[in-house]
Amino acid sequence: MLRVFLCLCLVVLSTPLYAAAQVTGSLIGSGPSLDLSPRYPEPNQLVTVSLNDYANNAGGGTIRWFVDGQELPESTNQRQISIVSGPNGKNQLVRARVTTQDGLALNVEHTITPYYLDLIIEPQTRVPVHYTGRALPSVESQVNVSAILSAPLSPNQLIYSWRINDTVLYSGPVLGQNRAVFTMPQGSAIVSVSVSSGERLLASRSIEIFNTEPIVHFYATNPLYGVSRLPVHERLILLGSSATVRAEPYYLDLATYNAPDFLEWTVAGGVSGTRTSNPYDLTVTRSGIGNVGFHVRNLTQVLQGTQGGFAVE
Amino acid sequence: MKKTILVIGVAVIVVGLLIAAWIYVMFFGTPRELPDLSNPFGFGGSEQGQPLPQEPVVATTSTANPVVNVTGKPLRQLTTRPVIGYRELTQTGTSSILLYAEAGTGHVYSIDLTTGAESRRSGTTIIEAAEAVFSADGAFVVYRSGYNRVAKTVIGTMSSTTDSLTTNELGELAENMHIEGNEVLFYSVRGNSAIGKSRNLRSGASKTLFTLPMSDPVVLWGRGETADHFIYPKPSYLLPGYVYRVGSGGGLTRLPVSGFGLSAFRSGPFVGISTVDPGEERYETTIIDTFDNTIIDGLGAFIPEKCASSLEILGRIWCVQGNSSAAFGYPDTWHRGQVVNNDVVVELFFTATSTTITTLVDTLTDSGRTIDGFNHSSGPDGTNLYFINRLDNTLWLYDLDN
Repeated sequence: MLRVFLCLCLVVLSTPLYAAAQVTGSLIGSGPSLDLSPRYPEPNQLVTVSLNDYANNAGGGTIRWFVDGQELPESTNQRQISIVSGPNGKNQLVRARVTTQDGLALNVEHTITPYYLDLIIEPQTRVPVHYTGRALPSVESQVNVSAILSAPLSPNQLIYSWRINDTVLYSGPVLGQNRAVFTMPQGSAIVSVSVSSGERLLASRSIEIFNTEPIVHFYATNPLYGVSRLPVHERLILLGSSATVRAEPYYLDLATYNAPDFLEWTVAGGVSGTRTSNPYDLTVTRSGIGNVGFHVRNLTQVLQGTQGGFAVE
Repeated sequence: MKKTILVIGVAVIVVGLLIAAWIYVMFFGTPRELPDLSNPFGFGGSEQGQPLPQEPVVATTSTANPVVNVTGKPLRQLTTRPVIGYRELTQTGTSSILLYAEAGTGHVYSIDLTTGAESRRSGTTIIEAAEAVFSADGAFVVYRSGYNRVAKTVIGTMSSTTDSLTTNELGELAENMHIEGNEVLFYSVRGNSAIGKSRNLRSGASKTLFTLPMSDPVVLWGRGETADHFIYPKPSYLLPGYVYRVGSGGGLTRLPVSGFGLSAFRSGPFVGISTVDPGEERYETTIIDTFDNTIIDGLGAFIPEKCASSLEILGRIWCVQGNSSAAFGYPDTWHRGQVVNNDVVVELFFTATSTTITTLVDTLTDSGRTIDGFNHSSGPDGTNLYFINRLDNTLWLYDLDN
């Protein structure tokens, strides 16, 4: 029994170990590897490839570099090279051949397969219908994010791992989960996703997005022509005796916008206001100079709110 | 006694003369012009103020159509009505005709670009008409009806005999509409996805073109449902954007460009991308030839939302010049209306070997008015460039041949 156990140990310990890269030849200590920066490059991107061989210390020996079988003579004995990754999805084999002073030869390889992995950030916050830009996230607002990988594989065939800052979403990797929803924390959020096909990690990407404080702008509305594209700048000059104005709280979470805990219009001076069926509209009637104020807020998530106003002349 | 009679007689004569004079003035006298007293002593030059001519006021009724100024300076205002959509029709006769739809009512008017005559082509009211696109032959107009998110899409068929439309609803809300031939191209939102579709305006047949993993894209439509289209998420200076080509099978191919505040324009295979560097406050434009992904940069900055491409000549584009030094928050501040642009229109011309940029007009200098245009397009023969002024939604023309 002891003899069998010892034989098994010898077999296991003499088996070459495979790390992130393939290594051939005898090893001294832990195996060398090739490290990439960025680790998952995009197509046609400058990549730095570094030989991590500190345990064996190839210093004193020779290092030769090969890309797709072609030697890079100008990089001989360099521990680090810079290359440009290939087109989308095209494999590129990078090999470092290390020869120690003892004559021991080691080959360390890494295959680079560049893909685009894009994160489409779509915050679910309020912007007007006529707004041609994208909404921005605010604290406690819901954010939808979609991952688009440029590999010729359906999202249903891929495994996605999502993380927001240090929190893993969906308890871990999920097949076909190319979209994620999260609540925007205070400060910023680092959104990370890794995409795998089976056991092979294809790409990983992170992006940091920042909160934006909701702001309110006021737009004149006309029952015939609709909402003006230009906001009221500090003062509304009434040509007639009255006008209807709409408050647009940009980047307010949609849940708060649709059902605010607190929404108030205030008028002062020589103006009066009449609410309409839309709580964000106010018909302002002028008999003199006055001021109009507006305030909307979620009383539970107090950062979900904004206020502003304008003068009426 | 004689003296008394004499006095009485003189008094009677005087009274009689006074009465006669009064009668004459009251019943027979005519008013005379008063002498000019504006400069009685002749100081300050020899010009004399002239009294206003007294013209008789005659009530008239005119049945003539209004005439638009279609001659004169290259930059011209075509409408005083607010416009929600327009199109210069493909010329079939000797005149070029422009159709436009009025905001709010959806009434359709035509302008003869040769004579300037304007007439109403449709008096059918489309409630809260907010957006309109026309077919190239003017047979169809598709509206967005409703100013809020609860809106609907209405298809109008023009009548050749009456000033009315035949309307029917599309059945779903169409976004980013564009008509090519008899097809209206659009996308509708389902959950977190945008579904690209086409609808044949004559047969009513619908087709799904693609499904996008985003709910609020901008689509740069190709020339027909089977052509390549380019899509990108709406821009914001704090969020990265990317451009994708959507092939006929619906597959997405990523273009090798990205950046914050990204928006794009196209001319056939040429795609222009403008991005902002919020930290450096720099705004710049890159052109990519999608045939071979050749990138052309160093051109300066152009605003994609204010670009139009020639329908005749590939690589000929008209754009509004942007500011390479972008203030913090741009382009979001422009989209919110906080920033107003004074448009300087330029022409870009790309070939495989060269790039030419020509300044056409500074609209503020030329018109004396602030013109912040959007919804730019060119006529079918490339002689006119049109746009709507965001300040008042009036329609303008720039004569490219003049």
